[in-house]
Formats: sequence, structure tokens, C-alpha cells
Amino acid sequence: MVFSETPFLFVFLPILLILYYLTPRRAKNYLLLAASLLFYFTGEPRYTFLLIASALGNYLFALAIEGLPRAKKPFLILAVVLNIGTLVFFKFSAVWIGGLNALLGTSFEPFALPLGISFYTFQAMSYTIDVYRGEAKLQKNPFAFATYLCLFPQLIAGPIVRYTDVDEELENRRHTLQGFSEGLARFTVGLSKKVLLANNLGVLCDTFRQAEAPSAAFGWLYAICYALQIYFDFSGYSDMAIGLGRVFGFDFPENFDYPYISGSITEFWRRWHKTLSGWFRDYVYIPLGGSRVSRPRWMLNLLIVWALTGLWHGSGTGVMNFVLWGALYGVLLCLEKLFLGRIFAKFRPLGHLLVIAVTLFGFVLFGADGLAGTLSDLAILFGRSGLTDPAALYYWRSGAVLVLIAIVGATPLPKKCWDLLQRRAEGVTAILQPLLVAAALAISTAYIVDSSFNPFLYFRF
Amino acid sequence: MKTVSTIRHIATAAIFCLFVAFFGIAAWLSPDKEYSVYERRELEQTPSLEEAEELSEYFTAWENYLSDQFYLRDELRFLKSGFAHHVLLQKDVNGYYSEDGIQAELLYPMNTANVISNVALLEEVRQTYFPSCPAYYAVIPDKSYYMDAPLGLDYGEIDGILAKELNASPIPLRDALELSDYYATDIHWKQENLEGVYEALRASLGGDLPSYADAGFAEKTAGDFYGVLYGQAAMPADRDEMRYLTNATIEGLTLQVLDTGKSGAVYDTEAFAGDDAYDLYLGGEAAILHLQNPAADSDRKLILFRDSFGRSIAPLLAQGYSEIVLVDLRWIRPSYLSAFSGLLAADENTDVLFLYSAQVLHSMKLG
Repeated sequence: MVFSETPFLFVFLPILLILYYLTPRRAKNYLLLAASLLFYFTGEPRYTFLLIASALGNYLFALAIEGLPRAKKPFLILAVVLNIGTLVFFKFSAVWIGGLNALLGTSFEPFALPLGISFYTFQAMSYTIDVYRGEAKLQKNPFAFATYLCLFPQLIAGPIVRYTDVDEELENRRHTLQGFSEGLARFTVGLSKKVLLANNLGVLCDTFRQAEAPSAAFGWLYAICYALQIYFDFSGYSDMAIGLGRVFGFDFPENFDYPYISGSITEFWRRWHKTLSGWFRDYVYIPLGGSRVSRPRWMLNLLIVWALTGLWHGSGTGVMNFVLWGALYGVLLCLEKLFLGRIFAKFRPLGHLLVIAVTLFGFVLFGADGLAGTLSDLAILFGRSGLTDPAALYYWRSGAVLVLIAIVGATPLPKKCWDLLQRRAEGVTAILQPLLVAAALAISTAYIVDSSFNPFLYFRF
Repeated sequence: MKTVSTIRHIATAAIFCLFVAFFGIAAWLSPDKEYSVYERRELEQTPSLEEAEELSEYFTAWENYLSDQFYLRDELRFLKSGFAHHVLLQKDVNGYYSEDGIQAELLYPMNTANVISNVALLEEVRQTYFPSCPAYYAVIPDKSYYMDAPLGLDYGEIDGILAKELNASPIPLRDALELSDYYATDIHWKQENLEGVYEALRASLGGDLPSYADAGFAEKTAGDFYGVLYGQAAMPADRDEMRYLTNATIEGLTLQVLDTGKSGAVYDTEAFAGDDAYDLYLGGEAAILHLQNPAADSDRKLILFRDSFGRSIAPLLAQGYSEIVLVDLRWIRPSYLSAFSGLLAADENTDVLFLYSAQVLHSMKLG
């Protein structure tokens, strides 16, 4: 079950909302836990046990770390090894099972990647590490901890919510009309971003993939649409998660802040998937010494972090593309720290151009089928099959308004306009907001009903 | 100010909750439908756990079921098309587009593999069953050919494949048709506009076909209808009017449906009122139909390999033949044709015509 499907929107969500607000305060977490497990079970029945095992395991490790101070380091190491080991086991099963098959002449099938494993594993690790560091209070109630880890709004595609972000709300949270209403409005914004923008951009990307010999014009349309699709898909999901969090009384951290307006790569990663960059900063980069080391070591730290970031996104045999994608950003960040950053500080448009170019090429690498596919896609961008073709012109014309809306939507302009309207004519927004929510829901539902199953891009990371 | 924001919060929350509650309750209360006329397909029914091989398959079936049975599904599909066309200004939606009220399917990119495979199959049929008969082929262009569509089938390539792979004489039809010869909401041609096609076929086929003018066809009206494109494209359009041609010869024709062993009507007005109005012609889809003309002056026979377009022109062609056997290779494998060897028996008085729409050659594999 995903947020942009009829079972969630018209069965799961309304029933849960009714039950949740009828349930006494002390039982709300139990209801959320049960609903979250059901939510996960309907999407990934085979691996629900893994999620429960992760919750139980990390709960016990934290208990041991807190209860046995002298053995807390071995317990932490064991917890990290088991978490990372499980992640690697599933993420790269195609690689190691492929190797095993080649070695033994067997034909074992690789394991499917459990839904959201990269997200919930990182959340669980943040808790265990924070308890070890003394930065998080031990949660003695296993059900409360399981509620945090399995909480369905952010369970399968983030944001990566750390335990410390919600520990107080787990125990005692306020449910207000404002939170409820703003949460639903935010959810609707996210739903529209996913269904109306990301999915439609995805259709244009698919036409590129179906074309026999696409021209450079088609290639650039694909590159632009794919970069926008990923942004609206992922930020749309984050909006839905944050919105649902508010509906149930939680304040999840923001995950996106208009990354495509960034003036440097450093700024881009402060605005893109903020909870992941923050996780790597706090649990990898700073423990490695961060920037408070020698310059070569600093650069190495950056490269390690970004190679790991790439690896986190990858899975299966196409992992090299993601490692290269991460490494590309690592190298650029190093260059920015060394000298580019100073130039971009003086000439922001130059940095902005680099961000756009790197994002476009980076996501071509991200979306290509292996390294050979990347080279082929890049060759198309540079005119291997001609500069233009009738199909490219047709889809440019057909998708122009969508792309334009998406580009404007990726900037803070719409939000600024809304905020201005709210300041100048609050009465108008009191009427306009419900109308816009109704319209967005109706049109998104129309698209959902008309479409076949279409999963979120970020579920398999 | 606080009051204004409270109103906004209450209204937003109420709208959202009412929306999901309304469609949620409607999903439970509205009876399930088995078939969508607009989409021309069976709709998902309540999933059964026993039938699913895996639990995930069962949950996916629920998702499909709820989408298929969604209350106001057809209306919402029209809303989507309207938004895509009028707000996003998309040229096509789900591969369908509309130009001046005429709806069409975007046939791009061409499935060359299907065309090659289908033409090879036709040649195999010709060689197996009619090696020494005069054989002809004609390709019916899809209507977007006349719509100034920027993307579409490559007719040059289709011609090339046919000329190379099918040992039969071509009968060009592209100049014999124009856009107005097709229904606005359907893929098919209008029978009453087939004079050019009739004359093109008459000029090549060996049957004793009278000229179109001499045949003295009279037009009758079957009624208004929405064609297959209307529901698929989900775009507003005016209804088409279906007419049919008749004369004394056509009224004397007899039709046998070999699939059922029953006789049928050349113009089946009951079928017109069904899901697909084009079933007016020869009663709808069937693998083998046998049209006999007791008033024929000669004993010439036509074996017509065809798709649905062939059903509307067959009664007109029957003017020049004592019998026409219509074979639809979408519904029967070539190897099964041997079971109809008597019906398909051919001699020097037999013409074999492969009459296919380019859309069928591109979009499916025959046989």
C-alpha cells in the first residue's frame, strides 16, 4: 500500500483517522503501531518479520548499552554490524548471489529488497547510537520504540526521522485543529506533487526510454523531466509523510528546501534529502573527524561519506552507477571546499549553473541501466542519434506546460505567493485553501483511478 | 484573524474528510460492475485469497479492484483527460488525442516486429491454403494518417514489408479515403463513405462487381453512438451517427457464423445497441463468417482475411461474388483453418484478399 493508491486514501486512512481520534490517549501508540504493521504487511508481507526483528533487536541493544555501561561499545559495534550487515545482505544480494552462482554453478535467485529497509535501518541505528552517546533517552517501552520505528507515514520512504526528533511526542503529543488541518493540506500538496507532476513527468521519461533512436532534443527533455520527476516524487512523498505526521500529532523534520535553487553543491545537499545528509554528517562524517583534520584527510572523509551516500541509494548489480553518482558529488564537494566555493560565493549564478548541470548529468547516471546505459544516454545527449526528431518535438510541445509548471514549482515562488496572499488577504485564503484542497484531491484521485499501480521511486532504496 | 484561520482549518479538514469519507463509503455501497463499456475490458472483481499465489499478489489485486470499481470512475477519467488537455495542454492523454472533435490514437512508436510477424503469417496462410489463387492485399490507414498527426505509423515501412514478404498484388487505399470517411469517436471507417475504396477494390479484384453508382445502394440510419475511442480517450465529443447501405442484393444475402453454427443478420440492429455499435455489421466479431449471395450471376468466391473493418465492406463486395468467406485471424490460428477446408476450398474462380487496418498490423500479433 502506498499513499497515492485508493486502498490507502479511501479505506486505510479514513478508518484509521476515525479509530485514532476515538482511541484514548494512552492507547493511541498501540493503535498506530498495529496500523503501521498492517500498512507495511500489505506492501511487503514477506519481510514484515524483518521490520519487527529490527525494532526488537535495536530496542534490546539500546537496553544493553544503557544497562551494561562497561560493555556498551561491543554492543554498539554488534548493533551497527547487524544493522549494516542486514542492509548489505539484502541490498547487494544480486551481487553476492550472482558471485555464488558463478562459483558453484548454482542458480539461486537474489532476495527482493525489503520495502523501506534503507530508511528504517538508518532510523534504528540513529537511536542505538544516540543512546550510546547519551544523546537519547532510553525508551523502556518496547511498543513505544516499535511505534517510532514502524510509524507508517515515514516508514518506507522517509524522511529519516531520528528518535530524538519525536521522543517527546511519542510520550505526550498535542492534537490540534491547526495541526490536523495543516497536516491534511500538506498531505494533499504532496499527493498532487507525486500524482500530477512526478507521474506525468515519468510518462515523458518513459516515452524517451521507448524511442528507438532518440535525438539529443529528446535526451535533454528526458534529463530535465527525470531530474524534476525524482524531486517531485521524493519531496511529494516527504510532504505526505510530514503532513500525516502532523495529523497524528508528530513534527517530522523537513526533508527538502528547494534544492534546485542552490548556488553550490554544498548548498544543494543542505536542501536535498536533508535527513539523509544530516544522518551521514552526524554518524559518519563527524566521527571520521569532519573538517577538523588535515586537508587530505578532510577530502578523504568527504569522499568516503559521498561514496557511502551513493551506495545507500544503490542496490543489486547496478550499484556502480550509484557509487559513481555519490563519488561525483564527493569530488565536486572537495573542489568546492578547496577553491570553487570561493568563486561561487562571488558569482552565485555560476554555482547555480553548475548545480543544474551536475544534477541533470547526475540523475542521468542515477537513472541509467548500468554503466553501458549511462554512456549510451550521455551519447544521446550529445547528439549520437541526431539533434532532433519528430518525436522529440512532439513531446517537447506536449510536455512544455508540465515542465514549466514543474520548474516553477521547484522554486519557492508558489509558496512566497501563498504566504503573501495569506498576509494581505487572509480571508481569501480561508476560502481558497479548502477549494484548492478539494480540487487537488479530485484531480489527483482522477489520475490515481485512471492509472495502474505505480510505485514511488524511492521505495527500493 | 484567529477566527479567519480557524475557519480555514475547519473548512480544509472538513473538505478533506468529507472527500475521502464520501468515496470510501461509496466504494462499499456501490454495486460492483463486471465490465467497462468505456474501456472495453473486464473489471477486477473482489479478490480471493485462495486464487492468489502470494499474499502480495492478493493485496495488489485489492488495489486493482478498488481502482476498477471506484465510484464515478468514468467521470473521474474524463476529469483527468480534461485537466491534461486544458490545463497541462498535453497533446495526448494515455496515447489518445482529439483534433477538432475527432478522436484518434497515437500509434507511436510503430511496432515493426508485429508488422513483420503479421505479414509473414499472412504469407504463410497464402502459401499453405491458396498457393495458386490470385491474391491481393490492401492496408487501411488509421485515421491519424489524415489528421496531420506529428507522430504515427510509418506507412512507407509497412508498404516495404508487405511488398517484400507477401506474394500478392497491392491495392492502394490511402488516396481513396479522407478523414471524414472515419467516425469521430471510433477507429472505423464509415460504410456509407466507401465509394473510393469500393472502386479501388473493384478495379483490382476479379469479381463481377458493378460500379458503385450502378449498385444502387440506399442509405439507412441505425442510430447515434459513441465509438471505442470515446471511452478510451475520455474526452467530450459529439455522438456519431451510424448508417448502412443496402439494396436488393444485400437484402438477399445470407450469413452464417461458423463459430456458433448459427445464421446471422447482415445488419444486426440488436448488436448495434450493444457495447460496440460497429457490431451492426455482420453481428460483431467472429473467426469465420460465410456470406452467400443467392442472386449472384457468377460462381466467383472471395476469401477475405480481415479485421473489423472488413465486416462493413463485405456486404458491398458481395455484389460481385456468389459467396464471401471472412476469416479473422485474431480469433483463429492458421493451423485450425484446415478444419474448414471445404469452406475455404479455392480454385481459379476464387480471389483472396488480405484487408487489414494498419492499426491491427502494428498493435497485435495475428494468429
